[in-house]
Amino acid sequence: MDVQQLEKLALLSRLALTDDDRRDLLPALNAIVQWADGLHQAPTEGIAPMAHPHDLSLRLREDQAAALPPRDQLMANAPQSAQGLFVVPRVVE
Amino acid sequence: MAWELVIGLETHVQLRTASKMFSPASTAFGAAPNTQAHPIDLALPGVLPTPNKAAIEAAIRFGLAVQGQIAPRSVFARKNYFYPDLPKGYQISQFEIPVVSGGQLAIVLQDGTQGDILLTRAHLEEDAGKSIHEGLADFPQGSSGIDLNRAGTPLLEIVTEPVMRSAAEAVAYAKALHGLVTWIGICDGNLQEGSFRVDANVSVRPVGSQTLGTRCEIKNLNSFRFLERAIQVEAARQVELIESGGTVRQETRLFDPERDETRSMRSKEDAHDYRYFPDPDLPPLVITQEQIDRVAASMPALPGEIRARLMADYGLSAYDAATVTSSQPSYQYLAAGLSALASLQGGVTSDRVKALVNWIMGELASALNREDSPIEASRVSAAALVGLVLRVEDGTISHKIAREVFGLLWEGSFPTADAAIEAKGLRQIQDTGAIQAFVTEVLAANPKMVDEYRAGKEKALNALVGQVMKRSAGKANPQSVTDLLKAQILG
Amino acid sequence: MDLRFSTLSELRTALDAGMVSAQELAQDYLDALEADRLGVALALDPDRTQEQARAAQRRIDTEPAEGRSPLVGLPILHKDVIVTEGWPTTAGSKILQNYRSPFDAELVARLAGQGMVCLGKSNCDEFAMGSANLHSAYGVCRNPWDPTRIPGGSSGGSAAAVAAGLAPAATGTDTGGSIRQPAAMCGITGIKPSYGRISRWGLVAYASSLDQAGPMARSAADCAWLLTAMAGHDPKDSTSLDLPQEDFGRLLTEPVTPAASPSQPLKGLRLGLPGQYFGPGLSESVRGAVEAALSVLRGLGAECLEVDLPRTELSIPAYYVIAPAEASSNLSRFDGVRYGHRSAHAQDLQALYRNSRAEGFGPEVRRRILVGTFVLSHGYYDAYYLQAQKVRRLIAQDFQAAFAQCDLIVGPVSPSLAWPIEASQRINDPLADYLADIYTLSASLAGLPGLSMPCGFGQPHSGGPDLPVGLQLIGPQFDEARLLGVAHRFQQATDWHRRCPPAPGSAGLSFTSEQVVASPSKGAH
Repeated sequence: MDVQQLEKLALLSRLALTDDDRRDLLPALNAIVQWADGLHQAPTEGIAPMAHPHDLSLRLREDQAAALPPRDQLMANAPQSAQGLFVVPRVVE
Repeated sequence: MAWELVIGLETHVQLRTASKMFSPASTAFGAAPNTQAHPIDLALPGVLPTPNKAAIEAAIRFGLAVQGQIAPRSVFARKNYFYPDLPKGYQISQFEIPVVSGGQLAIVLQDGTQGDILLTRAHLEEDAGKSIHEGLADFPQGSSGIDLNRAGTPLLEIVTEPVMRSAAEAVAYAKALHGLVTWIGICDGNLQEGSFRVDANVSVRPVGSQTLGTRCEIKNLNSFRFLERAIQVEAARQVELIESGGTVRQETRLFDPERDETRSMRSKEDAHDYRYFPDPDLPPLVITQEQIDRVAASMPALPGEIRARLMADYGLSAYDAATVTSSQPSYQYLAAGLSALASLQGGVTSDRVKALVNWIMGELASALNREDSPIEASRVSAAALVGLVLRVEDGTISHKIAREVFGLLWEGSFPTADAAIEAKGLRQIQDTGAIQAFVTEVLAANPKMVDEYRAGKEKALNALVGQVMKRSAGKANPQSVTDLLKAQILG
Repeated sequence: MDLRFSTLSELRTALDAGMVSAQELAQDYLDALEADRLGVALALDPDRTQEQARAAQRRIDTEPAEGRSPLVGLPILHKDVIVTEGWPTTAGSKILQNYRSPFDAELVARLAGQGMVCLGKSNCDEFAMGSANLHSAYGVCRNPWDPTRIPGGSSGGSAAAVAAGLAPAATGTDTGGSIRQPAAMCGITGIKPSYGRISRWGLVAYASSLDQAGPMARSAADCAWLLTAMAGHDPKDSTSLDLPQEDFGRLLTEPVTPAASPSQPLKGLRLGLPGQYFGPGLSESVRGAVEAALSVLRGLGAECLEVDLPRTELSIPAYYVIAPAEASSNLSRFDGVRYGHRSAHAQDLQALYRNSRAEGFGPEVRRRILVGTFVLSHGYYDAYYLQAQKVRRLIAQDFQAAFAQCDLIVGPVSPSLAWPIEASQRINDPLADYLADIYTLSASLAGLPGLSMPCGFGQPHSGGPDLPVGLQLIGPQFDEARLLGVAHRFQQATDWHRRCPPAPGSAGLSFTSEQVVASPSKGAH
């Protein structure tokens, strides 16, 4: 992994990077990735990936609308809100 | 250089359920901002999604209606990206294994051309919230407001193969799809409220080429008119670009109806790496044959079957049959008309049905369009319209007068055609003696026109016919008038 | 009368006998928590705690003991990755400073419904990512046996609190060992149930296919009470198991094996010892205590045999691909828009995201988000994420094969004793920390239940007080009752679980808590 790739990952995950970050993160990430390369040693031919540790199938919820707590309560932690809306810097399409 | 247009459509259909795809919040339209956002929709720490049974049944219903394959096991996947109307920072959708694959939808164009549009797939996902930029008094400057009422509403995304070759085909497909999803009751079809949104993938290539050109996606078209125009405008843009030496960039664009052009969406720049992976909060969705059979048993007769019957039994054209079955209310109107005919002397005949259909697609459609009304709100009932059709059939009134009668029925002045005809004295004058009297008067008053006709000018005859019609207040039988004039002039 | 090192069962007796009220009991712990210098608690609200205690005392006074929950009036601390309506939830992170959840986690509601009294929220590694409680944004937590050392992580605050008599029980979460390992390092008992046992509704998600909450307490018997109350189907969690309600303490009284006898309660029990758990990486001090514990188990009638878990080493890269991947997605919701930290440098939307998240997340969390984003990204997904999920299935199959030959798998929890805080802070080597998880990761990947109980002490090389060692029991899926039954028999034959660390500022002597209150039926609890 090089700095360019790191910058791309930082963009995808919306994390600002300082120069210190770039210096410290790159070797650590490379070490982890190199380690992960060891996974290819395993005999995984014909083995299906295991996304869940048990064999459940999805249970379905009956389609009924439920009452909600008051909006003020649910928006109480908002860093900025006005007129019942969450406020963010202008979204440009 | 001759260019071929290649179009594929992706349609987001909001499913008509009481609660959201993964939360029990209501999906009702028009509530005050953020009053229909459950903690799950707000992506508060610690929440988990639970899937809506009715939404899944709606997807099965759709799969059956288009003869697609219903996956016995499908997977919900996370589509990761950052946007303020996407609270979790990912959308729960389906990626590698959708609930429905394949399928097709029949379309008929106005000129009678028919075709089957092949579908790639249909999958379930959740809708995003809304960001609001305008119309907010006293709102912080340079900001947008986020309303998450819509976030989590169930969507069925329906994708076609890139098989359409004209804007007309695309619109015919979109209308047919709209008709189908409302017909089977999975969507309310309300375009203004955003229940049915079409994205068009448009590319061009030289005629005869086998490879696809670079495509652009035009997003969020919520009217058939805009869909048609956007495709035309985008195709022209791409052709002009290529012909002037440029290349088409794959990008997402919006249609601006004010300026009649498409423009690039700045926000969907770079990195379209959505990093799809199966959602670990949701085990696989298993659908049994038994469940499919249960849904199948509750399905109404499909428009395709009904169309085939109408064409076979009454000789309706494919286009006309498609139009009257474009929605359940539309078909119910026709069915009420057929029912009325059945109880009258002479019963249901092909001619009568065709005439009725012409009135439905003509005068009735115009009146409804003028008021932006749906057919369920028609001020002329099917039974009343049948009454009108029969009076034209039996010669009581001319077609021209019939349109006047329709107008009277529409404005509510009279309950039946017969009442209007009687009250306004609109009976067509069939009595040759009476017509002869008018003819004689007109000939006497217009000697110049008589001479011109004798000299060979056909237009003079039309003018004379017009005069007689005027004198008879439009009620004379036009054919008789013509015959009598000719007879008297030419002897 | 100092009840603070009593078990829940002993406290039950005291409450029922009127020796102490729920309010007095809660106050004892609250006072101790206020005076604490180990960094155990992140949020305390004495008024709210006393409100719950009053209500609990009313139940004790008015409800007949028959049929009343055994947990009424008993205090508990909740790990701060578990949301509570009455106390702030930070998940050990600055990004959630002062966050107030409008709802309680399902497990919190169930325990509260049974009359438990919440003492507050315990310290933990940020978003449960860590094995030493060194990654909390609110300060390190210290091991009560030697405050210069780590308590283990990520449920370090919970483990330290129970060990130091600051709470009789606490909840933890375990994604790769975060209940078992701190329990081992602090000398208490903790269990990570089978995946899906306890609802994840209200757990701030780290790795969704691995996270499980669990009880941490002073005995297996206490853990059984708590697990029984916490477990069970929750329709709000689509991954929660829908199995009949279970009493996880039933094998504390009923025989564990068909051949069991009073002197040989584990007769016929086959314990599998994975060769991979006893290799050169295991420190001598830990090995000594574990082998002594195995002797005790053999003395109780169990037989030991070697089993093979060939993918043990690969469990580390598999876990450190899968967990960060899921975490990178789960943590995307922390964007400064609807709750949590919003940066002052938010001139535009992208700056708002980038800066809020960089300011709010600590270095370990950022590292894992980047790794997770990498292994899911286009071009790398198959080679890393998918491959890790395949290795995961191999690991699950390894356990299945091993359980064909044995009933339970036994071994150490951690390769070493608790290490010094200062040394860790000096050397920034995340990979070294990851390696220490080697014995606990596999059970998480396979979704199997794992229990840790104190089994002795070891002498650290660098000097200082002796430190606790934990013994791990891993069972087949859904076998929690047997794990607890075996642990209980061990605890009836030993007193490691009764040991207490030296009081702060004392002469540095540890002690064994007396049974201050005699329990009615000695066999049961």
